[in-house]
Amino acid sequence: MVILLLSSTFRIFGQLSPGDLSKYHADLEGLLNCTQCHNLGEGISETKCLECHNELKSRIDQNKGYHSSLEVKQKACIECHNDHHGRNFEIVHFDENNFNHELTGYELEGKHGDTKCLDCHKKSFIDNPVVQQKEFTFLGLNTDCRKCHEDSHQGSLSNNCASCHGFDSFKPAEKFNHDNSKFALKGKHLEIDCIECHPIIQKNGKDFQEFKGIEFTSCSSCHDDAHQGAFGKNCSECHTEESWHYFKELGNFNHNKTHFPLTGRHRNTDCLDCHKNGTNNQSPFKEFTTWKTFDCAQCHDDVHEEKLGTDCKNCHSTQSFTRLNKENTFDHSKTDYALEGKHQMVDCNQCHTSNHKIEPLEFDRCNQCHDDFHKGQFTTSEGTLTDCGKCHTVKDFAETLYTLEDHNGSLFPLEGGHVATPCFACHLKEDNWTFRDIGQRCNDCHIDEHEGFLDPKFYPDKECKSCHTAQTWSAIQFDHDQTNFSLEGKHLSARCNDCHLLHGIDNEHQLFSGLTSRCMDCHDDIHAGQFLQDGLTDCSRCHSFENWEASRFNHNETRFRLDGEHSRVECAGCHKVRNLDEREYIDYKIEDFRCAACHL
Amino acid sequence: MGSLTHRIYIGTLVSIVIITTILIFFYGLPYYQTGLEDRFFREDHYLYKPSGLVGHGLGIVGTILIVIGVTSYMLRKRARFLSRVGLIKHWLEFHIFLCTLGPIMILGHTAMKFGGIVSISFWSMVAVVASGVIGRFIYLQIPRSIEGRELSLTEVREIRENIGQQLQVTGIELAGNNGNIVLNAPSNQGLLTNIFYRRQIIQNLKKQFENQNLEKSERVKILRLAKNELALSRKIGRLQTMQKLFRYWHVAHMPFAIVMLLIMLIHVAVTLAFGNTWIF
Repeated sequence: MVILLLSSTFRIFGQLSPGDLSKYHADLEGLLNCTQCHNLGEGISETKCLECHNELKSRIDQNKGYHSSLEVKQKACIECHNDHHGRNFEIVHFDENNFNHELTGYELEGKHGDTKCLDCHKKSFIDNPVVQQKEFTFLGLNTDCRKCHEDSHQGSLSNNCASCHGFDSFKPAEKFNHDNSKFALKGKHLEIDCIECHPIIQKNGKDFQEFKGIEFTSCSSCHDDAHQGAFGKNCSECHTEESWHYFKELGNFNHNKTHFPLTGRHRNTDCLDCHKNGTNNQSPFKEFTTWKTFDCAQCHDDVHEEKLGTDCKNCHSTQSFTRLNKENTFDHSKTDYALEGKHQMVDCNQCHTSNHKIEPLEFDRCNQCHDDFHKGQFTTSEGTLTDCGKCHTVKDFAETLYTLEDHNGSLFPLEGGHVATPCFACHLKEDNWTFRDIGQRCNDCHIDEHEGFLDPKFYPDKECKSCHTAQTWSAIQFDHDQTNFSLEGKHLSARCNDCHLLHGIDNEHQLFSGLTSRCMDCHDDIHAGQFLQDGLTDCSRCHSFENWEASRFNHNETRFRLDGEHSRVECAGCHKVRNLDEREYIDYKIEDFRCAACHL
Repeated sequence: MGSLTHRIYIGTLVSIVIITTILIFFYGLPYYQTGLEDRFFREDHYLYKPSGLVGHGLGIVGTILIVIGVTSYMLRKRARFLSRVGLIKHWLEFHIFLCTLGPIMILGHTAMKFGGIVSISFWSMVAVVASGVIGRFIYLQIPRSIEGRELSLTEVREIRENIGQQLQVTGIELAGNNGNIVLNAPSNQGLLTNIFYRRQIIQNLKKQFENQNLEKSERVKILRLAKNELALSRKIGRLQTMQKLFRYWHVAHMPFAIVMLLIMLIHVAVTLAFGNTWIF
């Protein structure tokens, strides 16, 4: 311990330093040097730092550089540049990746942001010899681009490189605007590469692209005269920068003074579309001067192959080939399809739907233009549509050629009332015309009025024809003998309704089932129940079906045989009219046969 | 101060020292383990550096503790007006407490940087603490009065005799078959031999307990008396050697303390001169 104490004591005796200074400050080691940086009783002196680091002081005084930025200025030097932490202490602890270069007053933009610090901060870029001699420094650089970058324009252009070049790349000079030059670029000039006009030459042994002194007063400064002087030197009289083939309002040339004034689309047509030989001969554009008349077909192909004549102007104008100048008077009969009936009133565009009405249409079948109104009902099993013309004409779709005879040739010949029935009564169902599979049985169309009122055995399978015919509903053909009640006598002349409607549940529906053969079910008992036997009155004991005469009654079979004078007495002589419940009836049931009962 | 109160008092002091040590190293260790050249770039540098909020605080508080610990004990021993205040044993214990806690805090203040002139102060402090530990051992070897005064050889022998008499009253024979081993045991025997004899005698004593119907409290009392007797016999054997050693020890302990305090004063002066004033 003593050895340790002594060795430690000898080593540092007289040394009050809290630790070794960094190698950059190593010359300040030693007891006598403390006050070079420290002020007694105060700590580190900013002034003393800057007394040594006078280049930095000078920059701060000029309010320049990183140490003048607001972020750094308010800090004490030792907050970033501390010391007494050993020889190898990084007194400038510099985080290259996170350093905000903008604080130095020079923001790193574009490619500068990706550049390593030392690629710029190197001695060769430092002008100041004092700063240059420093072992290492970030000071001494200039913001003038040319201090670091070579001036490839060799001083021929402005010193302010950034007025044309961006920081992302040298080429292209993204900030350069040719419009600000004496020769603003237009039309095709905008598309061509710079080098086409600004060639690279050799200057001072280096490649040099000429940007200054380019002659541009005349087009021929750069372009060859294709007309070899035939039209003068002022190219812009006819040509524009948009295209060599696009002529600026024909320049001073007035085409209307020729035999062929330009109208309509001809005004926008490229000259060379007509003047095919254009510029390739000694007298360009003059190949038509000898022509006196101009026929369209001389330039244009006849898409109608002469079927419509050769005078195109009858139909077409120079405004548009597809827009006919006299649509209403066009004689369609010159085509293979003369317009008839309703076709005459249809707008051209409805059939000729393409932009170019000249495209041929097929017309041998109606459905090439029309939709199949019947939605395939008349398509054969082979898939072909029955010709519409079998029923319809071009005069009117609703007017049909389909006759009664045609209908009688169908699966359902019309007879009786059906002949007078309008088509729609059977074929228009729920707003759809139906011609197929609508059924041939009566109840496919008619409602069964008797359902629930007539025993089905009298019209098996709901076959109406068991009783009715197609002639008329009311003509019934029914053999009443099929029932339990054969019609006889007066019953034969009675109407069905007399019995069946009588028993109907309402005034419309006749009741055919559940009826009995008892007289009293239909007829009233005018005898007020005098002949009731076991609760029933059997009228046929006295009456027949022929009439109401009591032809079957024999008074002698009663308990009072008529003989003598009695056989000549009127019935009413004995059988008096009586009242029962305000209803009159003849009393046939005389119980008292004593003479005095009648004879007073 | 009762025995239990004293134990609580000692326990509290020891706990304070242990907890303080744990806290300093729990929070400061990552910083202390960082290389000197890299510490500046740590976010906690401003806390744990020697002039930092924590580091400097530890230095100042530690120093104050040491100064109080040294001065108070010194005054108790030398100043007449304090000579009857409290037991010297308790003052010593408080001295040890302050002068253990103080150096541990100073260790935190150094941030494990042992350079410069102030390192003399630090290593002196280490020497004082080390000698203190040795001194404490020697101190225990010298029998003392209840007030802490050193007993003379004669006084010690009287006490032992007194114990011997008390033992005889109990009828227990310490000597065993081979006569009075303990009383005649040579005082210059080696430590191990001594321990061996002590064990043998205690075991012998416990065997005798088996043959007699003694109550437990009685047995404990006899054992304590026997142990005291044995310890005293051992200390009597070494008393003169230890008394000699203790005088030499004083020569070592004190000068290191003085060196430590002087250099510390220089260190504080330099610190103040360069403007480090902690929170003041």
